[in-house]
Amino acid sequence: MTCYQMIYFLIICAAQILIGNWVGASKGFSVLFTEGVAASTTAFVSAIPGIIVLLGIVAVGVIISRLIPWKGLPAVAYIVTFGCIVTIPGFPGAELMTGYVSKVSFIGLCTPILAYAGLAVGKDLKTLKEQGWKIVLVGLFVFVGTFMGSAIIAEVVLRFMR
Amino acid sequence: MDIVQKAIHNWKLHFLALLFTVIAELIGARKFHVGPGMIVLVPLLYSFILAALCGHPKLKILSRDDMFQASSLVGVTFFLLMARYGTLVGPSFWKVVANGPALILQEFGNIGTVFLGVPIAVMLGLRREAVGAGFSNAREPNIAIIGEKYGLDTPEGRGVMGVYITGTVFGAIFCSFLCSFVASTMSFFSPQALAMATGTGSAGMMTAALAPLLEMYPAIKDELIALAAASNMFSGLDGVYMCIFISLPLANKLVRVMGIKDAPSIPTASSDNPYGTAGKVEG
Repeated sequence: MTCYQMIYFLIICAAQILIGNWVGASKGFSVLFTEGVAASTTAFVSAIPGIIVLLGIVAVGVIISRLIPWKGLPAVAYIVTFGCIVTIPGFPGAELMTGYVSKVSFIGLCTPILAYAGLAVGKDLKTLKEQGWKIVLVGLFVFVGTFMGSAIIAEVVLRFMR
Repeated sequence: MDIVQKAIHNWKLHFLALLFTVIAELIGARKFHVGPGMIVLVPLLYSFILAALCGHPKLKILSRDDMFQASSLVGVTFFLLMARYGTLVGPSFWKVVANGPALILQEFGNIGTVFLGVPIAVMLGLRREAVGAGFSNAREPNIAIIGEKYGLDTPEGRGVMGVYITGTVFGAIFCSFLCSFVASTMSFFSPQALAMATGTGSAGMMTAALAPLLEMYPAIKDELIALAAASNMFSGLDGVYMCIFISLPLANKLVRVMGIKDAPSIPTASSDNPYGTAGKVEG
């Protein structure tokens, strides 16, 4: 994916997230009908600085991943690390950035993302049919095993630490 | 024109994603009591299901090309999510550090995967496939491990790819229900421990599993997200070593103990590039 393509698509994504955030987290439609256009516009606009901060974090993360010659880590690793560093209390401007991004609902952010994942999922169904139901069943037990295994250890260790 | 170029100009995809986002957000989070447990449905599940239904061939909304194009975009959509995750870990950074031992040790939970996955796979009649299917939750790094060691056109490779695809199709929904159910019925577990357990190396599955927890415990929302995101990050780093040195050898041993004595596969020249082959299946 070229830089131009990535920027183009990230802006589309950002717009979808803003709209989703307006509908869900800031209850845009009900605000529009009860408090008028001005209040609902304010709700929409208040999330824009946050999404710009997120786009900036993505940009820095992608640039770092392209500059570093070692390709052992994917770009998302740099993005999440950089996003973490700039919001650690004490980092210059951390409180400001945390305040901005807090206007972008985390759960709302996932709604358009999972929509794209859903649009793509149809292509895997045929492969899944060829693999057969046995492997699907094994897969589901594997997810139970991973989740329960981690939960049990985490719980025991947390109790020891307290 | 390459597939990404076609995909970003495919306005049908962007419009459908937006439409389902708006519908899903309008429905909002819903809680249902089912028997002793509670199921929490969140918008991301609706948008996923609506979009997946769209792919039904009879509806003629999405062609196979559309699906492959959408798939080429999924990776980048996660960039913004990961940036948001980072900004959630940051403010709770010292709390996460204080929970470091639990976060690192819970990676050993992968052993639970082997002891549940491998025996069930063997009982269902799988042979060497059981090693690939049962040694991990089959996210991208695990495919790379199997691809490098055994090749992907082998029983082990089919096992890991099968679970991988199961994960992409059912993973989010299944993990969401699983976490809802465990959180509401098993009081042994603290929400913090469950939040750590949701981070298994897949951002999609983690988010879907975490969302119901956040609906149940809104007061400690930020702490739970920080722990889950940190745990997911650890899974990406030490999880790989854990798989190579512990769970994969363990899966191999367990399969042999259960009476499958087939020789391990050897990768052929065509499958010596695990990411290339995995990428092909992924589209």
